[in-house]
Amino acid sequence: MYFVDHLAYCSPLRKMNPNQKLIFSIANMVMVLLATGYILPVAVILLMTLITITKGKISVKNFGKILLLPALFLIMGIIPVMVGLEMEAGLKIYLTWEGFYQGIFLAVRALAAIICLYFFILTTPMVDTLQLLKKYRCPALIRELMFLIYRFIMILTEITMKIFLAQRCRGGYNTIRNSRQSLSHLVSSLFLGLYQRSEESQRGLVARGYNGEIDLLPLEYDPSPKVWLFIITTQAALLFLLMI
Amino acid sequence: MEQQWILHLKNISYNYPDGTLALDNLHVKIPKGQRIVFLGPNGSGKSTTFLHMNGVLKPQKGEVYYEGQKLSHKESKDLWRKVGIIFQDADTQLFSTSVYQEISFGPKNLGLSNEEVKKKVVEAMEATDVSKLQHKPVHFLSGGEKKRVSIADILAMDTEIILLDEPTISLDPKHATELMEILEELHKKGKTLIISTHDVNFAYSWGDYFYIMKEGKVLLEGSYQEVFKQQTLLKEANLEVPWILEIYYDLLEKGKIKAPYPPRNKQELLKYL
Repeated sequence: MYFVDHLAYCSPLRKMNPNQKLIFSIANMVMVLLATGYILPVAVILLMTLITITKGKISVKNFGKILLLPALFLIMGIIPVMVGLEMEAGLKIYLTWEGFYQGIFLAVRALAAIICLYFFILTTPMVDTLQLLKKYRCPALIRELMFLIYRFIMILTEITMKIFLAQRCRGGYNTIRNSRQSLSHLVSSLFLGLYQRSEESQRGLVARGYNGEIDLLPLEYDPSPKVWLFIITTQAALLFLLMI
Repeated sequence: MEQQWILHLKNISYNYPDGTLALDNLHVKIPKGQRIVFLGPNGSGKSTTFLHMNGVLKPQKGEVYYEGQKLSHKESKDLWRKVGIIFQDADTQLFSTSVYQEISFGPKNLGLSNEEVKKKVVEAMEATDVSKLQHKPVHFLSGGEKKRVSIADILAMDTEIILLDEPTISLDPKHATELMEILEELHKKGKTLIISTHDVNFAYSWGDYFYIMKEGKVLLEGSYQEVFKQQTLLKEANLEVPWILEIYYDLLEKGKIKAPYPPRNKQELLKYL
């Protein structure tokens, strides 16, 4: 998460209007879900990957790395689609061509949808996402929970890294036995540290008038007409691909 | 002498949940528009006192007065509008995902319009030299940058009183000097500034009024002439005597100078020589 947000923050596409990015990514996703053939999902995969890598300046290596996680789920998910089971007259496991093609088709569509989503999250930091959610009238409770969880993940990583470093500096994790002990210390002090940290954080908020709702100045992004034009043309092209 | 007290903590006691007595019948009066310094060893209750001044902590015993008005529990909840606090550990204070939004939190809570908030945020960012960082997420900042953002947080709120808990501790000399310049300007504007510190030498040349704390009590209070005379009491609070004074007394004893008033800073001392 830290990694993804960092990439998004550094991406040149961060300055693009988040709403346009969201619309672009969702429109493509809808097209993919409507698709009945291979051409459209493959086109979307190519288009979105290309934009994310060239315009978003996300390196191929990082992009591949982040795709590994859903890829695992994808593979696990299509196995039951591909493989047939028969219980009568003993257990039979079989693979049909029909099931195989269906699995592959599903995988390609899912991959295309994931890449659409990745385009958005790899170019939009959490701050902008939260603001978009507000724009689309997402309830404050959900937004603030998301925000606090996000912030605390960052704090958690930070405290973990600090403790880990402190342990390494004094010879922690140098043997297997010692690693186990060090890790148990790390986890327990992490919980204590986090508890204390959340108390302090609460105080910090109250000191500036926190009363249950976090209200901040919105960040400003102007939507670019060029981008609208681009979105419309690509959607028209995809619609054409959908027809044939 | 008729003195105007902006904030007055009367007979405050506070126990932490684990039973340690943090404040023991504390009595503190803050003169308006002055530079007040709280000196004292770790754990003497300076930070707890600050949290009471800002209304985050409610006194378990005792009363808080603002401009002579006794505050009810409900009113002391609103003390943050008048008293800004810059925490010792910037991480305690910073929570937002971008610096710009972080600084907007306080003024937004004050109920200002978006235009006004924006103006205050921009001013505060310029004063603390963090304009370049405004779109950065807070967790990508270095320690000193975080500190400066935490100062901007409070400057943007433009409160009457500003509390700084060990402000210079994570600043490099350049930014520490800049902070001092900001404080000087705030002082000229008539703001009341309260600093807690261990740095006796800095405190001695900066402060107008001093509180020396020990074990949740005020051990000693007064102007610099009154406080720094009491060398035995200072020792009791584990504080050193400022080096300027030490030299001054030494020279006075040896009859090398005949200045009636102790010097405040290096320049004054040099003038005497």
